Amino acid sequence: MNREEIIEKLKEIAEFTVQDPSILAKMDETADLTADLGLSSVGILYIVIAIEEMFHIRMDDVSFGEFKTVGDVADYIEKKLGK
Amino acid sequence: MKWKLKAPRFGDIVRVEAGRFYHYGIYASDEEIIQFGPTPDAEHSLLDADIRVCTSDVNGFLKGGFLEVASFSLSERLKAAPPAQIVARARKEIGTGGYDILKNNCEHFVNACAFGVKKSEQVDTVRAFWQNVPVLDVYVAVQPESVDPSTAGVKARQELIDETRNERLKAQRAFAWRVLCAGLNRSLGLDAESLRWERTETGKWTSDACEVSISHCDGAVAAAVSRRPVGVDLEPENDPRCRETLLDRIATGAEREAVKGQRLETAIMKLWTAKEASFKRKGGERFSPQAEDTTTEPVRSIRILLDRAYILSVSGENLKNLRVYETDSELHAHRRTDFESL
Repeated sequence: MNREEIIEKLKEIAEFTVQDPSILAKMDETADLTADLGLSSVGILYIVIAIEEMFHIRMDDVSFGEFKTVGDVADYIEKKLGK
Repeated sequence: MKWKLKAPRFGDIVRVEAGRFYHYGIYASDEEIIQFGPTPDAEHSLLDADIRVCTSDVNGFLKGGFLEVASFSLSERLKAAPPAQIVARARKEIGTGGYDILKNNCEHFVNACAFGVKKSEQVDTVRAFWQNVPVLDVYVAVQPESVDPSTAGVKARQELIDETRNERLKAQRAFAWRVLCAGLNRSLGLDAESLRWERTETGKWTSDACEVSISHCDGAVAAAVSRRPVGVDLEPENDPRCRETLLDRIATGAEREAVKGQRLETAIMKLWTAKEASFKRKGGERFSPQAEDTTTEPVRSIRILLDRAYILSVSGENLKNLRVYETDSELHAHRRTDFESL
């Protein structure tokens, strides 16, 4: 899976969690998880499990709060997938 | 465990709705709710390091929400520690960190205080949701000029492909399976080679972990992946064989009425692919077009431009969740939303 596909898949996960299409529309690598996407501490639960299940990886070596942007999350997934 | 809107008592587990989830705490008094959450000076932080067992008053805990109080079942009451011990356990942890959203969150904390066991039903519920989230993904791809026919990606399938004498068909089959394998990995995180594949008497391939369907036509392939039975069929939109006589042979009376006024070739291909997709989903023994009534089957047809126009039909559950991807020669998938629903 290349980076473009990872971002696309993150968008698909967000489609389940973000109801506002205008927020989804601006979801790119630079989108800030809290300021742009409105991710809350409890919302992280949903996202972390979604990433684990949809990418088949374990996020057991990182705190999701350390990620600032969608690109940071993609960096981590890319590394986990062994790219 | 049930939840009630009532006055809490010393040692109760309490919770407040926070968006889609709940935040939990141990109630000692209106001035003291012990919780595993962001400390007051880092309320908006998402960093695990800023989350510790701390106390707040009831207003600080609720932040405008409603307080819900746990009501234990009989078996839970038998397992639960006495209220004084629950509060003592909670107080003893004040200042402790080590927050982990999946393994050590606010719900794990209150259950450990009350029952001595770290458990989070929210984590279990969300995981079950994502493990069962409806998937109906179709990968379409233009057949490359040259394909190595020995790269189907699944040993059992490769063995049969190797027996195919027609080299063109051999390449089509191998490429379709490569597209399928890449799609399975992308949509469901599955490694196709590690699954157990079987071929039914009717020629349909099934695996122990997913449902798939494949179609190849002159110039392109389609592979559908889902957790539920699925069928897919793909054909070029313009085919000289699409004549009125063919419509008469494949359509039911209701279908003939429904396509009146539509472009004949498109209407025939829509009907044909919808019937094939429906048949493939059900896995019947013999395809008889007139026996498949597309007006009563769960099937969706689209017109999509690849190297030329194709009609793609998909039959399955959750058709509203249909996602279509175009797979390139490197087997990377790109979402397509620019198709026309028929």
